Parts: sequence; structure tokens; C-alpha cells
Amino acid sequence: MSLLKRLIPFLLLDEDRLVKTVGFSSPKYIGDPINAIKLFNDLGADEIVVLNINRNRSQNPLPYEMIHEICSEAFMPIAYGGGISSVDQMKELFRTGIEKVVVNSSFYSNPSLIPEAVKIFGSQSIVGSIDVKKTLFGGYNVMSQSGQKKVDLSLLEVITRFQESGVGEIIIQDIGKEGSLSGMNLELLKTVAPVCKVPLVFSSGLSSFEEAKAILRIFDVNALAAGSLFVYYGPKKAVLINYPNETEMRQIQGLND
Amino acid sequence: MHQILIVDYGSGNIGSIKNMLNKIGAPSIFATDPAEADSTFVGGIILPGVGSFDHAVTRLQASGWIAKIKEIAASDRYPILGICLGMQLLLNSSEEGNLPGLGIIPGTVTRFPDIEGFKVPHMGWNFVNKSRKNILSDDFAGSEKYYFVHSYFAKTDSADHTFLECKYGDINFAAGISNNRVHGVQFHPEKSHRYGYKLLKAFAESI
Repeated sequence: MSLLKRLIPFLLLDEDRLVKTVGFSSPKYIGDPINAIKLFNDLGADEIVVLNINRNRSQNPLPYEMIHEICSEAFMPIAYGGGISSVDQMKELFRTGIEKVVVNSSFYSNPSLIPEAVKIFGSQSIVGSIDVKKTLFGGYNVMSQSGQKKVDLSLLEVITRFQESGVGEIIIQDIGKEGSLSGMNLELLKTVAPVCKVPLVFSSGLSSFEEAKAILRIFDVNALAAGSLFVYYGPKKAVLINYPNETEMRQIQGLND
Repeated sequence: MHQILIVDYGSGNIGSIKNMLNKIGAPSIFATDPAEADSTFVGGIILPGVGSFDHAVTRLQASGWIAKIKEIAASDRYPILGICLGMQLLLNSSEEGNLPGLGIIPGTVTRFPDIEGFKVPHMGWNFVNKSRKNILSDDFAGSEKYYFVHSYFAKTDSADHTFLECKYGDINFAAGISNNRVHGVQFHPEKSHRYGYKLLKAFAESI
């Protein structure tokens, strides 16, 4: 029995509120994080990633109290990311009940952080996250600092370096597709899937669960992540926490095929 | 009204266990002192566990929990549920360490081999199969899955003591073990939403 394919809600945390962005900007209020977790418990989400997108996150200590509340409330594993820059922070996060930590910008400013963390906590606990932005010429720039800063390495080079650093899985987000509900960037997925030796979590733009099922069937991707799809419903984007039920999940995972 | 005592020996996030029991409506308390297990209000014990075998055994030995749990099991005073490492501690020994386990359920713990395509630790959701009848899995429909995180797997000496099995790669291992009213599960029910809830509810009702 190999790993089940996963559908992972990405929840964006801004202090004590959940928000949803489009293209990494214009955050809209979604609701209370603890309420959302409770709902995802009832709906049976298998795993959740909480990303702290607060602008001042690098100046402040991590919101451990909120994270503790989230972990205590959650009946599924929680991964946390957003401004993580030290092994001490990771230690505290694991102690608080976080299952995996997600590292993005710190990887570029401190390349030894992840190898050190992997040695202490094990690769299965460390996730590398890569944000990309399509260029005018059809290629991709890798971005850091919530899409503010361009990284001077090619996307494939970044993936390779993350893998060499020992991460247990890799997340890829397409900034241009984020929050769009317009369908995932399959051209990008086609490029990165063959290169990823560790489980790949592909994100951004997922429009429906039907699309998820098709993508999981066709591409060699371990998991699909989404924000809008799990927190919005309908053409007017009403806030509604939702997740496929057991039967629907089996369908999406291709277990009944 | 009987409470479930959750052994607190510094083994990580036990908040989720209490929260799930709260949701079930089963009152619970954390306890660091084994003397609390003698209270007439206690009707069951949960032994959680995260980290390494010897480290856990040392802590439990030092605090007096090893003796207390053995005593409760021997007298069949009330049910016990070991979770993850807590389950492995119920067995005789583990490849992970040198110290003996509680030996309440005969069996051993072995490390997963490194096989291409099956990374260690076994981390993620996986399905379990019923291999024996058990009070904790009575109403399982056959599609139950649970969240696992472990590098070592258990096998009981007698097949009669394994009631749930799981497969990772070529390895069939014990996901649920039981001897009388002493039970253990390799997975984390407190991180397995509705499936974990069902199992913990059955445990609470067995008190």
C-alpha cells in the first residue's frame, strides 16, 4: 500500500484571523481560525497547512498561543509555515503539536537551516515551499518574502537545492494563479513533477474537486493544495468551509477506479 | 462518573487526546503522579507516547508509572489504551532500545527496512484491516483509515493479540493490539478525525 493522494487546505493566518488573498495580495477576512479548524474536523480534512502571512511576522515571535490552540483543537495533523528562520522556533513548534514545519524565504538567506533541521527533526518533518511567478516571456521566476523578492536561481535549480537539503516534501505555489479558482497551471505542473524526487504538493488555482481528481489521475503529484476552494462557495464567493466527504474523497483519490 | 486518566510524562501534545475525549463527552484528566490512578473516579487509562523507546521507559520507570500500569493490567482493574509509542511500550521489547517494555502483551518492535518507494518513517494516512474481533473495532465498516507516524512496527507473538493490521510496502504490521482489557493502537486516533473519534468513543464506552 503506497501513500494515499492528498487534498490539503491551505489556511492563511493574519494574527488572529483567517484571510484569503488573490495573487498574494488583497487579503479578505474569512473567519476565526479555531472555528475553521473545528469545521474541518467535522468535515474530515486529512491534513491542514497553516501559513502565517502577517506582514510583521519576522519582527515578532511566532504566535505560539494561537498555534497551540489550533493544534489542541485539530483532529488532524497540522503543518505550519511563515517566517520560520531558526531551529529553536521549529523545536517550539513541534513541542506545541505541529506535525511539519514549512520553510520558504529562510532557505535562500540561510541555506544551512534546513540541513541542520533535518538532522535534528528528520526530513519527514521539514517541508520546502517554493513560490513562482510567470514572467512575460513564459518562464518562471522564483520569489521569496511573500512574492516581494526575486530569487536569482532558476526554478529547477531551486527544486534541486531544496531536495539536496533533505526536505521531506515540496510545495509549489503559482502566485499568478493563487486565489483565482481558474484552474491549476498544468504547464507548470508538467515541468516540475518529473523533477521532484520527494512528494510534491502542487497548489494554486484549483477550481473544483473534479479537476483535482483528473489531475491526480494524470500527473505524478502526491497532493494538491487549495485555499479558495475550501473556504469559498458559489460564484459570489460566499465564505463556506467545505471539504469532500468520505465517498467523494475515495472518488478523488481514485480508490474506486 | 468515571474519568479517563491520560498519563502525562512529557510525551508531547496530549491536548488533542483530551479534546477528542471532550467531544465524545468522556471526562478526562492529565496525571503525572501514578497515585492518581488509584482514585475511585478513574475508570481507564490512556498511555500516549512520542519519541524513543528507552527514553520513554526511563521516564515512566522513574515516575513510578511502569509499576502502576503493570499492577492495573495484572488486576484487570480497568481498561488501558496505549497510543503510538504507548502501544509499543506494552510489548516485551523494541529494536529501538535496550530497556524492556511493560511486557503486558507478548511481542516485539522492529524497525521498518529502507525500501525504495517506502520511506521511513511511515508517515501519513493508511487503511487498517480487522483481523480479530475487538470491542474497539466492533462497528468498523472496513474503510477505516488512520494517521500513522512511526519508524518502528510491532508484531505480537500470538495472532490472537492483534485485532487490526496495516500494510506498508511488504510489511504487514500490528496496528491494533489487545490482551483482555489492555489495548494499543499504532496510529494516532487524536489526529484521525472521525475514525479516531469512533475508536476513542468505543474505548470510553468500554469503561
